[in-house]
Amino acid sequence: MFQGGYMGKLLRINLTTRQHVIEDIVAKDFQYFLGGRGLGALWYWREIGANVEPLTAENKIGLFTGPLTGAPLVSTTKFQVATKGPETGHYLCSNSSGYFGPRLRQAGFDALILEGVCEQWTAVVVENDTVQFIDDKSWQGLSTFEARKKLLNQLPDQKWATLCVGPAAENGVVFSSIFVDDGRAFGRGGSGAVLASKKVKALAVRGDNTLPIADAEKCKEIDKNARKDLKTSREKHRLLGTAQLVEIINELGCMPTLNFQHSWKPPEEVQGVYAQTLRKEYFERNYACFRCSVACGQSAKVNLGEFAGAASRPEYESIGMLGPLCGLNRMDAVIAADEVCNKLGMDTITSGNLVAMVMELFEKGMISADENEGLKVHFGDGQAMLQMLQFIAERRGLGKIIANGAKGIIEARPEWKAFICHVKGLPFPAYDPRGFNGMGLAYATSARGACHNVGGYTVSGELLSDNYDRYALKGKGELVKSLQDNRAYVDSLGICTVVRGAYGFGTSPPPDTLLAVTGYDFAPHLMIIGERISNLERSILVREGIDRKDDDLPPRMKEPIPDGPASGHFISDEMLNEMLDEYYGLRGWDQNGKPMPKILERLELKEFIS
Amino acid sequence: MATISIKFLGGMQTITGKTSVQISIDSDSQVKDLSDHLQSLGFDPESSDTIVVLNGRGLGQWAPDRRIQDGDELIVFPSISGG
Repeated sequence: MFQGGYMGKLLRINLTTRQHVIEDIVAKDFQYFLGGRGLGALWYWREIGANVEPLTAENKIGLFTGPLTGAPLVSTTKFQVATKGPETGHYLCSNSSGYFGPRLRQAGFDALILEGVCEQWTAVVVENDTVQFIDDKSWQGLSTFEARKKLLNQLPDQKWATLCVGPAAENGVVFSSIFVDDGRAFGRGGSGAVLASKKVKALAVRGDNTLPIADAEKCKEIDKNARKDLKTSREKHRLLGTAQLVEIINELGCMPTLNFQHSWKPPEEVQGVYAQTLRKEYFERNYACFRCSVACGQSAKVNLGEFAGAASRPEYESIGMLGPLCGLNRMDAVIAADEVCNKLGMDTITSGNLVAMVMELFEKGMISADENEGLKVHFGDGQAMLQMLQFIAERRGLGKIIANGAKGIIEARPEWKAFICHVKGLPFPAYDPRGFNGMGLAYATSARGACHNVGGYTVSGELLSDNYDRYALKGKGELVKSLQDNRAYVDSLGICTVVRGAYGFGTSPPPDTLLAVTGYDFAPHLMIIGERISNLERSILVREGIDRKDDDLPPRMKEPIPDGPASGHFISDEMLNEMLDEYYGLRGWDQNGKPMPKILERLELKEFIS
Repeated sequence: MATISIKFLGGMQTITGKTSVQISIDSDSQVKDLSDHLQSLGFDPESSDTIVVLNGRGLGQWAPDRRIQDGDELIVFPSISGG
């Protein structure tokens, strides 16, 4: 059926027995679920039961590439992780760029599964069809960067790609990340803690295989055209990265500030964390992922002042959540906090949210330094923030509670519930949905909790639509459904979302790219595949006990924004319910948010999930 | 005459070399006339890579014949997401 685009193999490693097997992946799974996120969701449905606890040996973790991962085209860098996530306690999908996905394909595999648990800390090394383990107690305690360096020092000089976890994962911090190569990450949901629960500190992969391509000449032509397009269409992305959203979202009145107590500050109080400040005062060079000509990563370093020496590549979400959300208008402090999160191996979005919560609790006198080893953590205090991040990773002071994430915090201290903005246990990204009602619906219905990617990034659509504006309710169900289905198939392709426009991977994609790579005309089916993935993921969540009551927004969203361009706006229960009713109806789900048999039949899902 | 401000956000500042401008336009100008002014500044309001917002709402979400008022504020920024 496919003349290219797939290796057709899955590598399954049992960490308990140290055995590995190579399994065939049937073509029908690719045809119906494409790869990446879709293939991961299908695998999850088949192998991870509703009652599996995230940080036990029963849980498994899988890495999944798409048909374009590693293909000879620009920015074919993406791959996915799927596992039961400890932050929400439910299905987790997360994507990353970097080199690991392409190298996994060179090793000969579309997917890699880890199951069981090691007796002692190890690094797993995959080279073509061989698997080795480097057991060493001294893996424990290393930062993500130290672990990568130690691993690479023990391997022959080849083109290896790596995954590493940090001390936070070792200590079971439920929002710890997996770091890919030297700075990309599976950021959200706690996949790092799952890997560490199996005593796997790191993985390395390389190989000598070549991905089969149906029409190599056509690929060259597509690649050339895409690069030409990106040179102009993504020029501003290369120059300023995603950080330019700080100014944009603040001007729109939706920049989460001081733990969502505000959503805007005058420009002079925010411009310290603008992209222009990053570029002018801290920028060192652009960073590119595998085969990417955009190179949107902004490598930055602090050379002067109290944070001198700190270095990171801060993206918008990290800047927003470690900056204005925590009352910081200093890019040097944000770079330092971003670096600390990267070294410790923690999600910057959740970390920023929960440190901001601590800051607000201090501000309101609801906690004292006595509970936190004497450390006061107030809005705008960069040094205290760095120390608090360390406390979380080490489970010290208030970090003992914070490390358990939003759900764990609310269980331990129910009186703090009003100060955490989350959905299903996953804290909000850097867009206050009270200024864009569609973002509220996106967060409420995202398959992994509050997320602007899986849930759908509605900001552009809510400003460009001729049918509604950002504060309307009607039409948002249709917008969010379309964005989610679109994103679901893009996450299954293996390319970066930044470049997808150059290939036309929107709601009406052209056939040429996937035809050239796989020899199969996926294009007419891509949005249906996306819808199928969305329904499979919802079916997983329903199996795990999720229903309408969980598609909710936190109390703070029901309060009006106090100032700024979106002043006075809020999302009440009635408003959310109106959007949910439209969304569920268009999805073919019942009033409780459960996919009805008719939609499962139309999407030909029943045979896969019966 | 009506005076309106136009802010250029993020990468759009590279096109104008400025963070904002104020322009005076005929007081009987309408929303539909703003496209010409933006084009004269180097922007294509029809481009999917450009988002134009008038007083907090998308430019296309205003009635084309809505009269421009003194103090109206436009912001122009690149279509960008993620992070």
